[in-house]
Amino acid sequence: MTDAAVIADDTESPNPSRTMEIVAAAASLAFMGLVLGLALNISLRAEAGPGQIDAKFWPTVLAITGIGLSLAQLIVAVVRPAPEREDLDALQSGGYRRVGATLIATALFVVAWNIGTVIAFGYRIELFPIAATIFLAVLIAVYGARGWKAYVFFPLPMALLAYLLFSVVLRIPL
Amino acid sequence: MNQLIEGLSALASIEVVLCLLLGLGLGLLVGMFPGITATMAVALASGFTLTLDPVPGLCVLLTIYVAANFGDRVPSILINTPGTPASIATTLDGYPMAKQGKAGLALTMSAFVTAGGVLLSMVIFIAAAVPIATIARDYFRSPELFALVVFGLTVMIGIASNSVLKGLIAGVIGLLIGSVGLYSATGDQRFTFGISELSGSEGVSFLAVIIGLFGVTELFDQMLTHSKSQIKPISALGRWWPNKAEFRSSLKPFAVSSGVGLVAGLVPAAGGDIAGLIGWDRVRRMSKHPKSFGKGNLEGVVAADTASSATLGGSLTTTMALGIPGDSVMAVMIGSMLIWGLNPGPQLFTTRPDLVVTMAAIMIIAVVLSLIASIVRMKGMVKLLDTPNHYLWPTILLFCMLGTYATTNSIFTVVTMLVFGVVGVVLKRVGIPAGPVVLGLLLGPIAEENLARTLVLQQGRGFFEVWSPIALAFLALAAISLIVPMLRRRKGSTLEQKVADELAQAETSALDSYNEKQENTK
Repeated sequence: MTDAAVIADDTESPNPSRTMEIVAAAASLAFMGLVLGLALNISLRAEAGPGQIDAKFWPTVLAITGIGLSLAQLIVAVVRPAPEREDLDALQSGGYRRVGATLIATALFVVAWNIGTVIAFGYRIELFPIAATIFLAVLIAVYGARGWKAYVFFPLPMALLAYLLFSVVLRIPL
Repeated sequence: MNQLIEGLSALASIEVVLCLLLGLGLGLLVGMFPGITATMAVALASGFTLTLDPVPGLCVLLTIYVAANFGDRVPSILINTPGTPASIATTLDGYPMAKQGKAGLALTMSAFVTAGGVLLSMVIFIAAAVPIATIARDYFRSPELFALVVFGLTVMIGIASNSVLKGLIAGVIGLLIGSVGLYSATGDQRFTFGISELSGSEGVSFLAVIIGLFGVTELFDQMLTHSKSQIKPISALGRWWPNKAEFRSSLKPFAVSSGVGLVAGLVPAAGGDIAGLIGWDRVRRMSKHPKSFGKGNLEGVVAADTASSATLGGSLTTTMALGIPGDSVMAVMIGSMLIWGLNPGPQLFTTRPDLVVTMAAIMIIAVVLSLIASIVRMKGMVKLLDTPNHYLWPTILLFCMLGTYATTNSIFTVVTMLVFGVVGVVLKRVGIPAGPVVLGLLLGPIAEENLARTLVLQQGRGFFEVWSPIALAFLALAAISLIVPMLRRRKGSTLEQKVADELAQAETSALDSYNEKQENTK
């Protein structure tokens, strides 16, 4: 062994799942069916001329094609063994918690960002830098940062950098 | 001569130099961090390059594209994890070399052949882009363009999907997303549900979709699958400079693999990952010592990196000359160029031939800068591999959001991007690839427009009067590009599987002979 401190990589591929394949194909079928319904109900301002296609034609063709493909996929999922999933990594414990917490934090950040500015104590305060700092601090906590240095040296400088780059340099109204 | 002067003079500004350096830094960084692909980086950068003029913007995006091809070799060699998919084949011999204490040599040689591969591929771009665009402009009407779009989409489906059916479903989803918004021919609204942001001719923001599908999806997937134990980077890098014998022995693999890469680059949607594996396999078969491949053979590193990097010029050629993305990075690039008012396709180079010179010059400068940075700063770059995910993930997410917001200055676009990020994870986990979705979204309006024109042309005419041999040939190729992967998979002989099986066999035989030796010693 060289000096390379190699620790075994325990990420494995997820197991093949027939149930997942069937649910995915059924969901695809339902989605394409919904799209077909919506496509047939597109309101037209005028009928298409001879040889021309109207606004309904393309989405309708696509939805019907999608239904055919989803049906075929459903049949394949039912009658054939579930395929290997070697190109994917297996889900790890805490994975859903990380993504769930990220989505909640992101939703709250987007709401705060959308408010834009507030007037407080007679001052007009832009919420973006404050909200971004809190957002980043929450995220690094969710992802496992420990120790005061991570909270002092990352969220505020990164939020300010983003604010300066986009708002000041690129003049994008955040 | 005028085009050459015009093309080069467009680069003579401080802004361009700064943009090249920015692209270089970003490209090397994203290449080095496993999980952050060049597609993701270009998608992200698209957000803040929209405010720039086209040439400085192209400088950032093309330099990221090139530099990522240099940076992604570092984690492949040092931690056995490809920085981007294009360097998958580098791991086969790069990491075993690193374990033998030859990481420095592998990194340096990799940088040299990557530079050589990209520069060689630029010859294809310079020589072929304008003639291909001219032929396409002169001979391609609506039926040919429709057939070409179908061909581009099916090639992506055939290559990017483990299941052709799932790939086709992905393509249909992309085409349907592309149909959202105003139908320009009649002014009718489709699937807009009264939302004003969807009512324009673009419908769903292309950049929001690609940043969501390529950026946020990858991020969420990493969060779902991240485990604490991981391979630590190799710290003893050994000697850096190859000797004469090593340079000489690399010439043949370089020549063979560059041929593979140049051809693969011209096939729409066939990226560096596929070319790298094919190049590695070809050189191994031609070698006098095929069994040494996969165990730390320098020729294996040369073969993989040359082939994957030699795809860049071909990919750029099909993208710019035909409007069919050569790979997923180019699909993103088309989105940005459309916003700048540049419409990749047959008209682009016939009306703006100076752009060929500008793009080629940007790519060549980017290669030289990346090579210098790779050789001079490699030791420093290696340290970046230790960056913890709890800094990396929030930074990427924040910049994904800001980059998306910058495209329209609307929170709705950010929400769209996040929704596609979540949808993308679901699609990924059920095996539906993102590539055909994006390509469908990009090519859907072109396909619909040209199909509509073709059907009008068809009125009262015979089938073969409208559908030329070129169009029929593209449709036949489209069918072949779907059928061949299906047949290959039925035989269970995908290239990746073949390479993996043969490597496993090699490892088993090596282990057997080691055990035999041990027993004999006893």
